[in-house]
Amino acid sequence: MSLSNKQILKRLKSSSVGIAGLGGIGSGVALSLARAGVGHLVLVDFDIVDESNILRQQYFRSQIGSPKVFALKENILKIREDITITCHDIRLSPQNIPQIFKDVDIAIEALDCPEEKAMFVEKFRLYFPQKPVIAVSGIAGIDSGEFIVTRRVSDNFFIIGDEVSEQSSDNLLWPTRIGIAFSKQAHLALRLLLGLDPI
Amino acid sequence: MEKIRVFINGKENFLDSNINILSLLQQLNLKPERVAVEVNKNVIPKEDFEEYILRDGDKIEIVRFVGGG
Repeated sequence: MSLSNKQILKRLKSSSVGIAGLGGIGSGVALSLARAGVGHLVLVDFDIVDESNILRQQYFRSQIGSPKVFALKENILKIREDITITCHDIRLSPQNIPQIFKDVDIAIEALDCPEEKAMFVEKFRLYFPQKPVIAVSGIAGIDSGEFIVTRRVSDNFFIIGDEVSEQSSDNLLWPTRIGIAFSKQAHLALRLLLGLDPI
Repeated sequence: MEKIRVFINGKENFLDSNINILSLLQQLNLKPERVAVEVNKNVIPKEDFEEYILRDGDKIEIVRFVGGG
């Protein structure tokens, strides 16, 4: 199947993507999808912009101390204004996931803590079995970018990363390696929104 | 002990019969609160790990979540 650019843009414009977590991965996915023309983004994070975030996340020094959801919305709107952005300055829980994600076509899991990642994926898969979720696991460190791979776990569940490389004080997140991960996540989201073969 | 043949992330494995998901995760050294488990394309919630008994032929997918996002 081949789609014209016009058809692609029309479909993306009427699409909605929810992003859980707005760190290096989530903020990167959000900007990529906004630039590509996705019409509606639902942004979720409870955190504020910290000085240590600036070198790998899509925020500016002037935004230190601001809630990430609002800082990211501001940055996206500087790039394009023909986009709807819904902000949730809240920590995700099993109780609030169904309400926050009910209108999205696809969810991006970009949370930091492994327990929260597992909780989000489990609840989203149970509430919305027909909606794809694209998660990340194993993206830290300076290892080869070629190990950042996509695995289709189930029809609507994809995992990107090496599933091993954990963030720690001696295994940092590098902007280049997480850039590979979030670009793969964002591109896969586009292909799914367009009804194309995911991988 | 009798064994069952299962597939874990596409790879053939032989497990003790009547093993539950929680015991399998312990054998694999995985923390139950840091994984997603699907059996034959069904999502298995964490609270069911202990009571879910694996059967011969099951296709088990285990995703290990590590920190960083």
